[in-house]
This record gives sequence, structure tokens and C-alpha cells, in this order.
Amino acid sequence: MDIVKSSLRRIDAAIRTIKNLKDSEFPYSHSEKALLEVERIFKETHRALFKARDSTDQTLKKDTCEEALKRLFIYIPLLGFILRSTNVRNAFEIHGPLLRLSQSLLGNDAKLVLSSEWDYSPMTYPGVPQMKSFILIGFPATESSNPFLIPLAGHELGHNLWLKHGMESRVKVIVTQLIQDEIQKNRWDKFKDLYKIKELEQSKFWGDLFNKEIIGPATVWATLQAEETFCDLVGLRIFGSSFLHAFVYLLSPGQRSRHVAYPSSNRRITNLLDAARKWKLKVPAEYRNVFQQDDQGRFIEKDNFQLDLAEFAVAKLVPHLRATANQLVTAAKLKSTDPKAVQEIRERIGLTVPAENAKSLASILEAGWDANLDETLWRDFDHLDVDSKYENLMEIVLKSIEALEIQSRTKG
Amino acid sequence: MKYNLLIEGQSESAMSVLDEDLSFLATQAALELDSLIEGKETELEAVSRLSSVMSSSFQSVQAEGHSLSLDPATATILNRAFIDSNFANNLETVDELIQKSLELAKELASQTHPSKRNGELARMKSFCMALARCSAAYRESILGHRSKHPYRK
Repeated sequence: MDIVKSSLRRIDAAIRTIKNLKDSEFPYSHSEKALLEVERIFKETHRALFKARDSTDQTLKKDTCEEALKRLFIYIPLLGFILRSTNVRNAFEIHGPLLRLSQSLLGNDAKLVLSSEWDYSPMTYPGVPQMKSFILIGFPATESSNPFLIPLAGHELGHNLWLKHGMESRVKVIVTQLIQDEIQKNRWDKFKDLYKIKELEQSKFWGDLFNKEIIGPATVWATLQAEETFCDLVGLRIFGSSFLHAFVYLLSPGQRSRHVAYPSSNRRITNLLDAARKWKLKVPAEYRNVFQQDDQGRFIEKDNFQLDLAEFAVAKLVPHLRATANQLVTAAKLKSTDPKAVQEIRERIGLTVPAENAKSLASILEAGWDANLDETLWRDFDHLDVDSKYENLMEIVLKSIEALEIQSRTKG
Repeated sequence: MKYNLLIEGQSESAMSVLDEDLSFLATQAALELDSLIEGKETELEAVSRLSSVMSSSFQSVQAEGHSLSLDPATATILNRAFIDSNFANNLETVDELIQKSLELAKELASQTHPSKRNGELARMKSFCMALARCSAAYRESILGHRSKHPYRK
């Protein structure tokens, strides 16, 4: 059985598929460029397999085939993502404004692909090897033409900012220090007891590799939770209160179970509300109460101990993550929400017409959300069908975004 | 305490055990070393990239005298890779690990020298293969099936 031969055939099949996909009609060039990047990566994998074929080292052959298989796992879903970016269910109107915003944040070489996913979660693929200049954002297929979810793209852009500024390497050093100090100051007995630690001179304790390895999970979880926290704060800072509304719409009431890579819902809401107050944003009433309590721990005592440590470290970092999100978004000179502009757009929506001369995407979305939450909207317009009010509102918001894009293009 | 999370010149080039690409890079480096052992002409692009990732990860830690703050995940996978490849199986301290990693990064960077003996090349290749396996296994053990796709967030 020649596994290299099978691996080569699998990669060939992927390359052939890409060749067929190239015939798709792409609504913007970045989808096509992403496809070409994936093709290049598979060709590189093909070359690696060729090298392995000639090797006499059977283990290395298997390892290379394993890596090639992993690449199929990574990039085949991306091909689906790219293909779905051409589907008319997507709101193509938002690509231009969101691209402009992305390039202000991440630099002019940033490329944006918006797509729809058959998974119920907005998501991004940041840092895909060799595709780091691509911002790949997907919305659930059922919501991919819903402009009210656009603010959640702010969270996804946060992941790309985190990557661009190499924040992981700095944060993991800080959380390591925080966790080590916390154990020595306040949790020593518990730590010693759980991990059967022999006494060692305190100053040398964390220089010992065995001790160091114990807190690996806590530092990894803290780093990942810090990233998610940062991304929430970036989304809030870019889109203001419409980010809070979109977050509730898509995720409330959440689920009781949680993943260690994410802060608990309660923690996320607390961080968002603290930042909203700090940045003087409007906070929806009863915001906190719509989410489930998901602070329950894990079932294994050591996991609980590590998770507590991770959460302790992230809590210490939140003010710094908030300041950094603010610093990076401010530096990008984005056109944020402007109360006067929001008011003007809101008045136009009240008249059932798209906004003209809107100053920013964020202002349109804030006005749109305000209208969406207004139970009295269009109540006196007898000619409007009540059942299609929501669809009509989405259409007006999308048209306003389209007008903003035309305005930007004609000016620029 | 005030933490600056944005350091001038900080880049994404440092080693990240959260990055699935680390195992691909290490495997590619092993393939390149294997070709050298077989006496074939080969470009050493992955070897050079791996060397640079290792250097940039540890030089700053060592230069700042912050070896105690080396993150445990990186320390764990490197130590395991050293042990599994019999490259060094008696490291006890973080300082020793950093020193050894920097030595190895330097050795990898000098692979283009034809004077290298096959024994040395084989040792490096073995380390690269072990690094690929350890980083993948560590990610899985800490994060489990975090999501269907390793880059999905």
C-alpha cells in the first residue's frame, strides 16, 4: 500500500476541484485571489509529498502524508467558504464598506471575503497559514443577508488585529507571570496538594521545567480567553451599541456549557458593559439578564483549578485589553457613530427611505438597530404590511449602506 | 501594574504552539534535512524558517532576563521534542531549555555548510519530526476538539 501515492492523488483532486471553481462568477476579486492562494498551498503540499516519495525514511513518509491530510482538513472547508461567497444570498452591499473599514484597521493589503456558513455562529479563519492578509468572515447562511449582524464582524476583525500585532506572544508572557505569582502568593497550598509538589526554594520554583509544565493549560486558556475578550472590545469600539444588540440577537440566552477557550458569557457581558460605560455608549436595558449563567466549573478538580487561574489572569488583563482595543481603533481613524448622523439616518428610516450622505457604516447600523427595536416604527403607515416590516427595514438599511458605498467611490 | 500589549517590532514570527502550521513547518524542515542526508541538492527554506522562529522566540526572553516568564506550553513541547528525539533528555531548568533551543536554532541555521556529518543531520531531522508530533499532540490535549476547523474562531 503506497500511502504517498494516495496522498498525492488526494491533493491532485483538490487542485482539480480548484480549477473547476475558478469558473465561478466572483462578485469581487478577493474571493478569486483566496482561491488562487489555496491552489498555491496545495501545489506546495504536492511538492512536499514528492520529496517524501523519494525518502527511505518510512516514518517521515507517514508524517508528511499526515500533514498533507491535515492541509485537506484545513483548506477544503475554505474552498466551500470561498464558493459560498459567490452565492446571491450574501449581502454584497456590505463588502465595500467593510473592506474599507478592514483596510483602515489592518492595512491596505488586507483582503476581505464575506461568505455564508452552514453553522450557526459568525466566524473567521484568522491566521490560516500563508493566507494571513485575508480576512475571511462568515455569517450563518440563514442570516447572511441580515445587515443587523454586521457589527459582529467587528469581533472577527479583532482576531486579525490580534494576529497582525503579534499580541499572543506578549500576552502569554504576561499571563504566565500573573499565574505564577498568584499561585505563590495565594494558592500555594492548594497547588502543592493537587500536584504533589515537593518543596523547592521559591525563587527557583518556576525555573524548574517540571513545575513549569503543570500550568500549561491555564496559560493557554488564559491566552485564548484574552484574545476573545480583546475581539469583543474591538467590535464594541468600532460599532458602538449596535454591537451589543447584534451580540444579544445572535447569541442570547447562550448555553450553560462553555469552552475553556472562551470567557464565560457573564464575564463577556461584564467586560462589554464596563467598556460601554467607559466609552459612554448607550447600553440596552436589562442587557445582563438575557443570558444564562454559565459560570459553572468543570468536573475535574485540576481543570477547575487551572480554569480559575486562567480567569484570574484574564480579569487582570481586561483594562489593558480595553485600552489596546481603543488605541488600535482610534489609530485607524475610523468614522465611528456620530449622534447627529444617527439621528438624521433614523429620521430617513422613519420615512421608509434609505439614508443619503450617511457619514459611516457604524452610524447606519446604530440608526437601523434603533429603528428595529422601536415597536412604534411605521405604525401609522397603513399601506405597509406589518408582517414584512422587518424585511423592509433590513432592505432600507442595506440600501443605505449601498448609498454610502456609492458616495465613497464617487468621492474617492 | 501597567502592561503594554503592543511592543514595537513585535511580530507574529514567534513560536506559537496554538498554530497548526508549526507541525507542517517542522515536517517540511525534516524533509529538507532528509534530502541532505540522502545527498540530494535541496533548498533549506523550512529549516531556515524554523531556525528563525526558534531564535526570535527565545532570544528576546533571554535578552530581557525573563526566562522565568517563558510560557509553559512552549517549554513543554520543546522539552518533549528534545526528549523524544534523544537530542537532550536531561534538561531540568527553563534556562537550560532556552540555551539548548538557541543552540539548536543556530545549528539549523548553519545546515547549508557541507561539512555537516550525516549523524548531526539525522539528529536534527529527528528533532524536527518530534517537534511536529509534540506540538500537534499538545494542542489536542489542552484544547480537545475546540472546533471543527483548527483556524475557526
